[in-house]
Amino acid sequence: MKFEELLICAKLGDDNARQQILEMYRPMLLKASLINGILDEDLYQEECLTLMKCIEQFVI
Amino acid sequence: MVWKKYEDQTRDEVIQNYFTAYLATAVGRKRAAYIDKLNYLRNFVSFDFSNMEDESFDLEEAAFNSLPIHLRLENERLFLAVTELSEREKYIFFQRVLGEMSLNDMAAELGMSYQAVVVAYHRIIQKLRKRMQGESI
Repeated sequence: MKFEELLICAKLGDDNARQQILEMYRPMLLKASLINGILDEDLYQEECLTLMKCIEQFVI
Repeated sequence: MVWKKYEDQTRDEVIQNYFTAYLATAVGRKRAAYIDKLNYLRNFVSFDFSNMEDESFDLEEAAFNSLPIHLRLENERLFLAVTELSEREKYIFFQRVLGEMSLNDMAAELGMSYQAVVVAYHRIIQKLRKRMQGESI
């Protein structure tokens, strides 16, 4: 599936599409969640929420 | 969006790149805010419980001493004036007045030029004076 379609589906509330986007960007979120080389799980959760918010707010 | 600039990419790739950039900014901001919050909490909860069993130990005094320095001021007007300063301004002010650090050292530590620190320091003093309505510091 193309990324654009995936993004539109995710915007419309398709959980499967959101899951796919989350998996696509998981390495980036994990990298941003490291504090002094240790994974901060609270921060990781915050970043996942940020991703969901970005999907909603991004204008195609 | 400017499509002409990206003629060698398909529309789909362009959208994905824009989205990635958008997300990267948001994630970076979230991370910075989270780290700020952690540091703020750490400043508040730096409490030493080790000599709690000692009889002369005064809980109130120890709690007071573990507060960040700007919350320990006794002059109410100065306290109110200082709480309105930003973190960097507070740092410069207290290092200069209480730590007696030289402006040169401070400039090196903050990565500013000597002149910038001098200007910043005088602005802080002016701000404080104004907020305390002319009371001398």
